[in-house]
Amino acid sequence: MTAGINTQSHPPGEYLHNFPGGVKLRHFKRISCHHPIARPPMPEYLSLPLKQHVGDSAVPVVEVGQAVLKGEPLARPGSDFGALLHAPTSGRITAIGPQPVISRDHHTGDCITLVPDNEDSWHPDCQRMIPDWRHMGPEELIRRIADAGIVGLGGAVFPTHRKLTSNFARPITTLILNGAECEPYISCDEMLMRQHPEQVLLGGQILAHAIGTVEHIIIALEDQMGEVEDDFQRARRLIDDPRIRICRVRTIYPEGGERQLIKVLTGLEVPTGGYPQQLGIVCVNIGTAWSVKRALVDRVPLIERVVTVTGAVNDPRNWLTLLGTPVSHLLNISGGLKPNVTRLVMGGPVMGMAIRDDAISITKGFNCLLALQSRQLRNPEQSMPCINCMECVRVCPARLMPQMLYHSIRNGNVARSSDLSLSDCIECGCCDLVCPSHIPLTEYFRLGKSQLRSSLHQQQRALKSEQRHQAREARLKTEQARQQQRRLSRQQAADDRQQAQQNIAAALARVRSKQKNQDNEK
Amino acid sequence: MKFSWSGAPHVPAQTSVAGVMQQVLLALVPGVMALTWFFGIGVLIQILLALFFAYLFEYLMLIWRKQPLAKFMRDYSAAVTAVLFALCIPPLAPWWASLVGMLFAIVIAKHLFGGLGQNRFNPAMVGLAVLLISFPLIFTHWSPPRSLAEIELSLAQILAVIFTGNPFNGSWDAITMATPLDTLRTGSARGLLVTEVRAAPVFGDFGGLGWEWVANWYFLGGLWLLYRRVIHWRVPVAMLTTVFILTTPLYLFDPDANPLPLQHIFSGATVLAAFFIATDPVSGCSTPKGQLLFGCGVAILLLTIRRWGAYPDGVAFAILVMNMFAPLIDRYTRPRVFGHPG
Ligand code: SF4
Ligand code: SF4
Repeated sequence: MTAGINTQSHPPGEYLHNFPGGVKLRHFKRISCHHPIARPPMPEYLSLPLKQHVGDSAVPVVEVGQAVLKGEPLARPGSDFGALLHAPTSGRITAIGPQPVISRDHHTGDCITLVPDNEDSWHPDCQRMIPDWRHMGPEELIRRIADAGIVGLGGAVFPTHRKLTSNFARPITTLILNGAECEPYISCDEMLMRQHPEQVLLGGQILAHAIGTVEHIIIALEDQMGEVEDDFQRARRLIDDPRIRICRVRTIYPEGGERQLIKVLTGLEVPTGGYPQQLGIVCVNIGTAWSVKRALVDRVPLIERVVTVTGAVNDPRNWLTLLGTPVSHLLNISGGLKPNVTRLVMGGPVMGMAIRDDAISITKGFNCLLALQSRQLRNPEQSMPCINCMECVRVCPARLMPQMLYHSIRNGNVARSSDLSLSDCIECGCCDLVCPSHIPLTEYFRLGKSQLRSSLHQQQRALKSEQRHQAREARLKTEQARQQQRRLSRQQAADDRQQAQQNIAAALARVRSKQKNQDNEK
Repeated sequence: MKFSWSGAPHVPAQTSVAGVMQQVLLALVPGVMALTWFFGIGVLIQILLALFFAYLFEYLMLIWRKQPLAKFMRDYSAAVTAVLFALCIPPLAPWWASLVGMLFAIVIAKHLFGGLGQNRFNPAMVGLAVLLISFPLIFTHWSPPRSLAEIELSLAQILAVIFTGNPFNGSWDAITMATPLDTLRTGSARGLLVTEVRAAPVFGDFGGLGWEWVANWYFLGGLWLLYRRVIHWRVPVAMLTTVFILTTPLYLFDPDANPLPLQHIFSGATVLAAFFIATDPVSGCSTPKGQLLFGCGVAILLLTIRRWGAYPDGVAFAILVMNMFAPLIDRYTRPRVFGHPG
């Protein structure tokens, strides 16, 4: 472990390593795997948030009232860190404005509302023949991936084309396709891999081609996905690419986390604050690879994704859902909610984000819609003082000391929080899951991070005002100096004048006395 | 439709403080039964007394500190403190021993430090240490193990001894006997060889008679706690190995002056301490390396106090001293954060 975190002795995936911490969870994945992935009926409207990815909001390129075709760009990236948004079906734009969206603090965000015309007619761009991806250069591939609006579908929603180029000295030699869904309940990736293993592999090959220097393509599966591995082995034999390796990793939360998976497959630790690219690694989600294949082989931009609808619904299953589909529509066609559901979650039960309103719609990062009944939820009333039992320390994948962090955040001791590496917390929730005192630790860490940010902000503000103050002082000083100077020079001038007058007077006096003398002599 | 909101995770942990404490109590059952078997029903009476005072003080302090009673009266932490304390005092100790012990344990060591989870020192050991210092005489009155007892006391007689504080028939000698550790200490003070001392009837095969069996049952309970992951291996393993490693060379070097290593492990409260007391999370270390150091430290202090100290057993002091160092140890043994250079 200490033998340098950046030395690698085996080819990636050949030897599996352990990551620190982690929790074994009951995975509840089977309940949503009884039906194959299907397409839901067309909803009455689609609501597409302009911000569905990390980075800046997209900027609409359509107007209210305009008719659009399926696959037509609706919004372009707001900056070069962003992603395109396409019309998921043909129809008319009826509104562009605030709608409820998923987020921690804002309840609404700008959305494009599209009412489908049920024709589902394609935009001509999506029907034009494109050359085989094998004949494209990396740059063209990356551009096309960007044009398809593809972002990480595992939940991180990082624009994929930005991942494929590296600014680091080390070339990217390892591409990891992450099929280890780390959280319970979510099965969209598993179902996708079961149904389309060869397409996923093809997507991986395209990504590898776009990167250009890939030597290993690793498919990471969980060891509880027995059949999926066989499907993949079969697909691999068909594709016959020696770079592909299929690895089964333990089903232990959060093994599917990017940093944890990289550690397991390669033994390397992504440096704190750094990127996998630094280690010559790129890690993309299985669903993302599939979207890449769809974009470059089938010419379909990212307009739909697989969503698991599960938990306390009557008919849990996976849907290939158009972006913008309202959550309420998905719930209806999944048999409706069971009684006493008080919480809807986007994502899994451990890291997912609660949804306040079922008018919210499916976005690019929406992998799972989980309904939880009130008896399944944690009760904040039950929280007790920390008994220092060290369970949280044992399970923390970042090897932090959560209980110490908790105390420092409660005391508002920002310096100590940052000394305890709060920023390295990946908010995985493992510590919460084992805390006998039922302390909402992860919530505290989110709070702590905002404390850190605001103190940083304050520090910067303080620094700035300090600088301003100093600048002002300096200005005042130079001003004073200048005034002094001016006063001095005025004085000087006055003195000089006086002196000159005196001189003149003296000279005159001398002249006069001379004249007088001369007169006297005369 | 609107739904409730809160930050992730949305599902609760499967464990609870009460659950952890219940496991500890459960794991103590075999040891308590063995102790009762060898040293009489007085053991159970002491436990009941300690429980009574512990909960009395807990109740009063919770009210005084305006804490939610329902939550804290049901966490079983006072029960663990009480039982651990009762197991460390002689079965015939007077009733007020528990009163004094629990007063210091629950009122001072626990609540005045801020209640559950805030105590710097192990409450049971604070209570015990206060008794050891203020009323050392109590600890000379250990009952003899079952097979060595001259007279068997009836329940009424035991109660009489505990509640009047007077040995019935006037003499403590008839109903008490020095513990193996005491015998050893006084023996070596008189210049006797360990082998000679060990010929005394209070000694068993490798520990004290009866004591060694009690230790075995504590051990079993400890293994249960390890299996249930209520405690972690580091403290007990570090502590027991340190005892072993430190005493073996001494014994091999001079077997006449130094007791058998197993003797140390199987007498007094060594095993109880290793699995149940030194593993107390609140007052112990919380880094992996820190726990190893904590276990070692307790063992070293324990042996030192047994060898040179004036007290019958050093467990209480060894643990309290290490409690004092725990925050410091934690500070310097923080693990390397994932992704940070080594
Ligand atoms: S798991 Fe909970 S009670 Fe245990 S040390 Fe961590 S925060 Fe404290
Ligand atoms: S949420 Fe943070 S502190 Fe808790 S286990 Fe995960 S990384 Fe560690």
